[in-house]
Amino acid sequence: MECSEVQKRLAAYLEKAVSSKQKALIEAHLKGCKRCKGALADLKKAVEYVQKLEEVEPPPWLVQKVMARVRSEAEAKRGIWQRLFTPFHIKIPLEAIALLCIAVGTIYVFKAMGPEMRLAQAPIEQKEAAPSKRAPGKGEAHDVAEVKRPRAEPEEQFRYADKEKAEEEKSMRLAKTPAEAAQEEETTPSTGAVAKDELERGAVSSAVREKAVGAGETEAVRFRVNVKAIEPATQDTEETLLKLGGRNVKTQSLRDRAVINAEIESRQVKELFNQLNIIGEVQEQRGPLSGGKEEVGIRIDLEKTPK
Amino acid sequence: MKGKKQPRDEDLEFVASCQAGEVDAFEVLVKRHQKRMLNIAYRIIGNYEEACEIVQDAFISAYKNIRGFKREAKFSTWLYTIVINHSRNRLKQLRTRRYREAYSTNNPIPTPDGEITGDPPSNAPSALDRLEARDVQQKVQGCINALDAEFREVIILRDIQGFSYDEISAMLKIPAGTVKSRLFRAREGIKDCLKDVMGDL
Repeated sequence: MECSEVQKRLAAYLEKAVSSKQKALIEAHLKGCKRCKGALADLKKAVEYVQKLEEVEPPPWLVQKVMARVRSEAEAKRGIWQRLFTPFHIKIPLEAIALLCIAVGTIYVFKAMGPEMRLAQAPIEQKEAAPSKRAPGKGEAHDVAEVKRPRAEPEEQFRYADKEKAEEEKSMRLAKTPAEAAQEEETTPSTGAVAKDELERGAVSSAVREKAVGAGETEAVRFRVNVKAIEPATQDTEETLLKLGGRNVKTQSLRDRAVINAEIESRQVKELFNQLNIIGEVQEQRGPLSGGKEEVGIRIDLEKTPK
Repeated sequence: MKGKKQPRDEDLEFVASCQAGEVDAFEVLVKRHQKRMLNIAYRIIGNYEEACEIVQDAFISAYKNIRGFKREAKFSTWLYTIVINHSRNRLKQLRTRRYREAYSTNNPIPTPDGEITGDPPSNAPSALDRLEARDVQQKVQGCINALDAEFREVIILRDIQGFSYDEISAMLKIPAGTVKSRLFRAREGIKDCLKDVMGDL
């Protein structure tokens, strides 16, 4: 074995990482070669030097510094955790609910406040006007009104009666659902016209879904007929109603007018209208003229034709 | 791997606590391993202050990634891998800055050793001894620094830290045979370097 080869393998030899055959060869060479022996000694010495290197001590603040950074890291991690994940799980639903509450609240307040403000002005006028006219009682009120305005009286009478009902109901409805009331209220163009409008609407709504004066029937169709004489016209009307299959025919006779309530199938309404036109002069008609088999309430107001 | 064969790893208990989110458990691990971490970093980088920084960074990344520690090796092996990698990267940075130059006798690299410089020269003969010893130590460190990184790491882990070939193989993720061959070449290199620097060994 030559020197260069031996020296190449000295490190391995020192670490006993050579085959026994090579080991024998190297040892044989080393015996006779001073240079290689010196190289081996140098190598041993060099390793010794490296191994003898002193250890350095860590500075006393190292642990504290590391732990401070680790703790802030843990904090930041928690912070990121909160920032990233809490909103998705808790915050966003909360925000959504809050937003919904605000939105609903706003709509509610708007819907509720408008009508209230209008009502605050409107009913005061009406309530002042209405009771004074009917204060002494119905009969007397009729008489007074009759003297002054015989034609307008009956109409006005039931209108007021209806109006009161309508108002009552309206205030009830207001208490329940402001939105509904507001919708209804929207038909009122301005506060100035409220009083009159209220009357009209009261009549309409009563015609549609409220109980008629006198009789306890629901009336959906309403006729106002001018006749020459009340009594025969009343009889004729009753007969007609019965012919058309009317039920619950009830008549309320007053001096110059009569109110007949009945229930007939709505498909008969048209025929009723025609018959009424024969009996007298239909002045006014409200409600649908045609329909199916379902029963509708009918109210017929017979009035004496003014001379 | 030795880590696998040795089921008892005293660190595991604390590692588990850390993984469960207990920050204080990490302090035990830091105290336990800081010295070895520092010495590895110090020998690789050749600068005490830099080594301290590296050790801190290494501990932080260890903490951040502690959930990724799968117990395939010993915790210490895992930890030392981190500090070696940090040292390696730092060395690359320093090299690109031409901070570090190859060792030469005329221009010795300042390797301030905190322990030695910090000591007051109270005892005259001892101080002289120390001075000489420090000189030798600096030269040896200089020679280590002169080695290529792959050889340097192996000689530090084997001859200074005394890890087994298996452990080194696990840390550097190279076969044990490669560890050996690198070690031999590293020793040869050190020997040649020291001979050049010190004349007679």
